[in-house]
Amino acid sequence: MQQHISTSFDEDLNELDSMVTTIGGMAQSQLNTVLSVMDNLDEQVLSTIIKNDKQIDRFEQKIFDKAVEIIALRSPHASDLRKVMIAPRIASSIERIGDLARNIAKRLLTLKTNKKSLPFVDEFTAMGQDALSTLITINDAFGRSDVEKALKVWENDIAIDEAYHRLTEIIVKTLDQGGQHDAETMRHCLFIAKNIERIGDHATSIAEQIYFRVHATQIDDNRPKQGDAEASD
Amino acid sequence: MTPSNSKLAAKDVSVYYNDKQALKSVSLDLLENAVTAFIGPSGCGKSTFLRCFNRMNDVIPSARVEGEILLNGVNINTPEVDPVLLRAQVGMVFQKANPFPKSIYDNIAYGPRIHGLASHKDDLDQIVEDSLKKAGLWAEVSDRLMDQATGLSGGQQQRLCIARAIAVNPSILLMDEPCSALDPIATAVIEELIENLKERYTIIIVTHSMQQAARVSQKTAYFHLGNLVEYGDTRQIFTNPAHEQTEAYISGKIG
Repeated sequence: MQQHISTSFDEDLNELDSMVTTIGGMAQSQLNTVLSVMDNLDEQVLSTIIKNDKQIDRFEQKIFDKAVEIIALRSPHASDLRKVMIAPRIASSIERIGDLARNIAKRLLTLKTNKKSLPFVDEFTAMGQDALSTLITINDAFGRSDVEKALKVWENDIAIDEAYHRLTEIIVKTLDQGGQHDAETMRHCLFIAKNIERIGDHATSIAEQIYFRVHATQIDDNRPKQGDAEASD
Repeated sequence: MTPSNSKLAAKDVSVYYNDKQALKSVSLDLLENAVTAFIGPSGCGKSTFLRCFNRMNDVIPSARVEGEILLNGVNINTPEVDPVLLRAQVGMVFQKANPFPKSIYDNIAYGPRIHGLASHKDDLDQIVEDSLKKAGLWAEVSDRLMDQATGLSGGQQQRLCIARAIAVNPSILLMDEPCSALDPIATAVIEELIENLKERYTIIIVTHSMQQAARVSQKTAYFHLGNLVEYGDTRQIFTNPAHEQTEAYISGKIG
């Protein structure tokens, strides 16, 4: 990798990259934690997750400010410019992932407060682990500018979509049968499933940014999509 | 002068200073009524190449130019072409503003007088006014045309030199780092002027400022060690250059 004549320019770019990796790690940790308490709905842990989300929000702003500073002071071009432009976009996707982890925590806390448990814990945990592993992979792909890895995440999003549709079918079927769980709990289940599915979408969006950073073009999007043959939700 | 009157191309142009080759077989079609920026590190051959377009290398005894510079299909590198007439058609603005130690009026009128472009004083007045207007200087100097040109500010002097070049009806304007001695405001005024001038003229600008090349030009040519490394749309050169060398230069990188 070529270095800039100005070492402080390299330091600025490296710092920006490192900030993106850090915020990615923060979201990873939030998601990992929320998955770990799906079975026992530990109130203290859930409250901490909700509280910690603000740190991610603040860190996203810091990344935005750093990118603005680099553009103003360094006037980056070509691959440098792409590096600077995608950092706030990725940070924004990760901030949304943080919001989704927080939303899941909020719903789990509501269930706990209402003295309920989360039905289909195994299904939720499995789907959540898929999303977490996607997030870990995409953070790693960013750190290494590994387009192949990013493309795998991008292509695999359909697996999370399929898991989401399988899970929602089970939820709706259970709701139809009535009795086993109250409608309010099932509503939370539907939203939690949707939140996990959205994490996959954001990881896909990050993959697109990594691709752009390396190739300076957008991915040609001709993936089959789960929703193509049915009404969009 | 119409756009079709400013077709400019280089074919296999090499320049030698004694035995040293400063430019290595460069071929390039210039885009008409557009601004082309020549960029590259010092000694890359960009200014040498620029000077080929109005045969300014003729005045350097050690310089030898090979290849063809085609202006509207005619090779200007032949003894039949009068360099004085050529330089009226291909105007040049230099790094440092170089007004004659004369009045503002006489600076502009100098070229038209030599080339016999005005038969009456009224015609000459009109040329002076039109040229100063095109160079965006008229409003600032119209009430003191007989003042010494050397009393103008640096930015005004540079616009005066542009007006002086325009006064003899060129179709091409060559600019060799025209803003390197100017402050950011005077630079912005010249850049805005360049933007307006490209409607009438084909402009080539040599600049060491990457920002300036990006701001003013539609095409950019990157030179390194006498070679034309890359020539393309400015938008592409500054967002996704095809050559690593180009990217390294515009990004300020070393290998």
